[in-house]
Amino acid sequence: MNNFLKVAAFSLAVIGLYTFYSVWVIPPINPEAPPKEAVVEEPATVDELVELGESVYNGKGACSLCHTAAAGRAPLLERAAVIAGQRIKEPGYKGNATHAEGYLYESLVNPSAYVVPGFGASGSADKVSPMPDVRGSSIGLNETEIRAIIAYLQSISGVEVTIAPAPTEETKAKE
Amino acid sequence: MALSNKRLSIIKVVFSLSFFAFLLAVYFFASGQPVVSAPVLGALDYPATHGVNRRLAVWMAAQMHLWFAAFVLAVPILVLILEFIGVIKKDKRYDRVACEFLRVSITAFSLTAITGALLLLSLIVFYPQLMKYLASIFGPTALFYALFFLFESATLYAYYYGWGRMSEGSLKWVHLLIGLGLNTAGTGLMFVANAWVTFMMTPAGVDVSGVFNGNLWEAVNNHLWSPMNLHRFIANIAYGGSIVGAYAAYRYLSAANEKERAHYDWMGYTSSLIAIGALLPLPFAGYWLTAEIYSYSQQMGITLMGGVFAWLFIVQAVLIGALFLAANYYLWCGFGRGSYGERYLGYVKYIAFVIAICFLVWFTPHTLILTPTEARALGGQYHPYLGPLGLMPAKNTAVNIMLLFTFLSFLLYRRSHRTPTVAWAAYGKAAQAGLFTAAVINITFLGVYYGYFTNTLYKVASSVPQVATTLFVIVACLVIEAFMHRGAERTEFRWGRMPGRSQYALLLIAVSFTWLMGLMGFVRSAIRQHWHVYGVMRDASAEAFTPSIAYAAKVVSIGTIIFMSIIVFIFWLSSAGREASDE
Amino acid sequence: MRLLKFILINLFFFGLLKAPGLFLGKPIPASIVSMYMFFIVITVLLVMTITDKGAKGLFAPIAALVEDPSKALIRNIVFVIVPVVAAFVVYMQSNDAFAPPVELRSAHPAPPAMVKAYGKTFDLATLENPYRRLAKEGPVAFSALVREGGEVYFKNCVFCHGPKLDGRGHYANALDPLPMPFSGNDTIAQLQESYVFWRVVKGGPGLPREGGPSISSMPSWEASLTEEEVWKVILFIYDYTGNTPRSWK
Repeated sequence: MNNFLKVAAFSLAVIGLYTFYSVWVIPPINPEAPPKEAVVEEPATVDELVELGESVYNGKGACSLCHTAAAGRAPLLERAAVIAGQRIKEPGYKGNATHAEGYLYESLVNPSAYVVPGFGASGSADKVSPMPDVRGSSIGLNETEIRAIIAYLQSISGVEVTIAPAPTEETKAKE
Repeated sequence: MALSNKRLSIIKVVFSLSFFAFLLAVYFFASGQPVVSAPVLGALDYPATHGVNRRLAVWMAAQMHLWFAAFVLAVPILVLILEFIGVIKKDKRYDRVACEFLRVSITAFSLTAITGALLLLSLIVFYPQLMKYLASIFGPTALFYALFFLFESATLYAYYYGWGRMSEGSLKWVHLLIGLGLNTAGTGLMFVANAWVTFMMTPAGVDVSGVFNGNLWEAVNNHLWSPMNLHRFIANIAYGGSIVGAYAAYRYLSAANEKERAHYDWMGYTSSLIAIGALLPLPFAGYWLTAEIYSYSQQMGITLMGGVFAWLFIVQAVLIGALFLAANYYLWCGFGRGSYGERYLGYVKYIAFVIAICFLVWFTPHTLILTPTEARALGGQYHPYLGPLGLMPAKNTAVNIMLLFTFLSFLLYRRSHRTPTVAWAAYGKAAQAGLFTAAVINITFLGVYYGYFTNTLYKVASSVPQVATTLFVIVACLVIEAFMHRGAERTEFRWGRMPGRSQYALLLIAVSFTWLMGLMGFVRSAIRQHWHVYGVMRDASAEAFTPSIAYAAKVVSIGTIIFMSIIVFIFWLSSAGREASDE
Repeated sequence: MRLLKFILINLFFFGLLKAPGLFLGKPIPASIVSMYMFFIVITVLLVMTITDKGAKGLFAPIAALVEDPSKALIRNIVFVIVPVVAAFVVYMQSNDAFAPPVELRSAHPAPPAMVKAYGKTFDLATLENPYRRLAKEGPVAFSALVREGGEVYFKNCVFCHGPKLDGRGHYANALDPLPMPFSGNDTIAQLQESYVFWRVVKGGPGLPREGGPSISSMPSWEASLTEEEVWKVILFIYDYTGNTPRSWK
């Protein structure tokens, strides 16, 4: 019995030390609370749309997690709307978009349609994009949020924002 | 070998109980109805729990089930290996120890089934919608699960009760074959269950809204399935070895006579050797697992390695470092078993020095915790001398050197009972020393040069040649060692001469393994964040938050204590049963 | 005597860990020292207790102190000293309660890709100091710009960052974290000018979350300095300290 007590005390001491270290020695970091499913109000003006796009870009959409210079995992998007217009004319482009806005939309919902060289998933020879479809998976953007993102990208690229605040028949036809 | 009647009846009751629970599981899974898409849940989809924390309840049940399952999957593997060695070496000791392993773990089989049923029950009660969704996809796999379960029960029964009767001649080989069947069934069971778990992390075979495309194999063979199978398989062996080692250590400490001491000393050594041997390839399996997590979702990978959980890997480093230190201490104490051991005692302090340095490097965090005074003196968050030690290349280098020196301890331990007599022994030793030096230089060079003086692309890449160097040197040294000791002058190991202190090292290994499994299991599951099925089905319950490391550590500690207590209880049960039958 | 050896070895390592702080002014943080020492003591203990003889030698003096009747006097002294030392340690630690708490802070957090200021959007990856090329093309004009930057510095920045640009201005001691020194080669010498531009323009309020807890008292200079003035003052701080901006080319 004496041995048993010794062994039990030793084991408890080891467990206690590990607990002590994890609870009191390392800095306490509390993970963020799960994001609230916010009700997205339909933006009334272009500015509101761009504003919504910026908040989705940095928040719910988690775009800035990878699309930063520090991460280096994905192309930078400062001039995305400008590049989009040139890209669709390039011979290497195999996607279905016919105009810059359509290219951005396609890149969001079907990232593998065209992968910027060097940014493909490893081992896919730039055929498969590591980016998820923003409508599904863990991101789950709706159409309004996607249009807001495109508007935001256009605004930071310095081109005219061609997305109307509410979807018109014309833009629906384009998509 | 005979069991007391009392114990037999306990086993029977437990088995029938678990079988009942198991039928429930099969019914549940088989009754899965096709679901159109993953339901979007609200708080009302979760039944009221009347004050029970549903997440904690499921967490505890799952953790208990995993610990027991790991143990009962590993023990038959160890037993089979030992029985096989015994047959090949014609050494009855192995056979006896194998049989004892199996006997002490037999109650754990029932407990695995019970905790499994408990887990399933709590999942159905607390998370009915999730289970409905999973059942709609994985219903057919329940059939495989049932088949494996029945097959395992049957082979376990035959293997255990046939031990005495099938001990001679060709019957022994049949017995070994049954053992192989038992292991296949157990591993198969685990693979099926792994498919369900990994599907929740990296769902495949469903579209973005969770509609199942009908291809069950695709859902089973998702990104994490294969790496998880491998990782759990190896880790289970290490874990089983460590638990049996702890058992032997305790029996050693309370042994009544020399013969018993010698037996448990040998048992502790053999099982801890298996545990440490299985621990060595584990980091590579872990690397594969992490790589697959990254390739499935970068977001998930970043959550795992950076940000919130970065400190968890420092905790992991502390635990694994403690494991290695304990294993080395056990080997050093073992020098006393051989008659030539004393000549190596002088080297211990140098080996210890190197291992300690590596250990310190390994758990040096990149971002330091500073008091304001220190921050002022340093003028920033990073330390000019310690800063580089916080980065990955330094840690990879440290781990490889630590592995090498642990191996050196083992090599010296093996030599403590023999002296080579071949003419070229001096050259052989010189070659080994040369290999060692070259390896250390190469590993350090790779780490320092590629880690700090080239661009980031090579930083991680250098870890592969480092590992290759380590493995190559270990194999090469073992080969030289084997040839050098042909016809060597040898004495028998004197089992049972270990100091009592050394047995606490074995206990520490077992406790640390248990705790570490709990912690790493937590982070594996926690990176799913607020999702039931990652990206497909959201957890809308109030308990959907991601717990902090401190919270997890407390839960894991309590779980470890409960699990250890149950293990102690069933070991006591088995020894009580044996004493009764001996009389 | 093994006990003495044990204590001396541990003291040696403790001294080694303290040395950078005492002699080089770069202390190893207490949190690290205590962690390191915990494992060093354990390792030394393990090494010294491998054989029974060793363990006995190590613990014999302690056992003797407790059990040997002839050592009653020493025993009583030790039994008084130990609680007193413990009390002293507790007292010292509770004294520390007045110090601000330990915290994690990243001094140079990763910058955003883009910064919006002065009604424009700046791309930090490609942004360059528009005056920098003058260093080669027109040295005279360049040194005039540096002089103007110096004026901006001494009208705005000197109060915290100090007349010697060493981060020890009048207000410095009231601030936590301390203002960044520009002298030496571990602050601005490690940074691109675009990064410095971002820090000056956006200041403490513009720090990303990983830079937190964002208690830097650096103001956001966007409202009080023009874009040109910011670029000039950046020229000045590099020029005065003899540093060159980091560049990836």
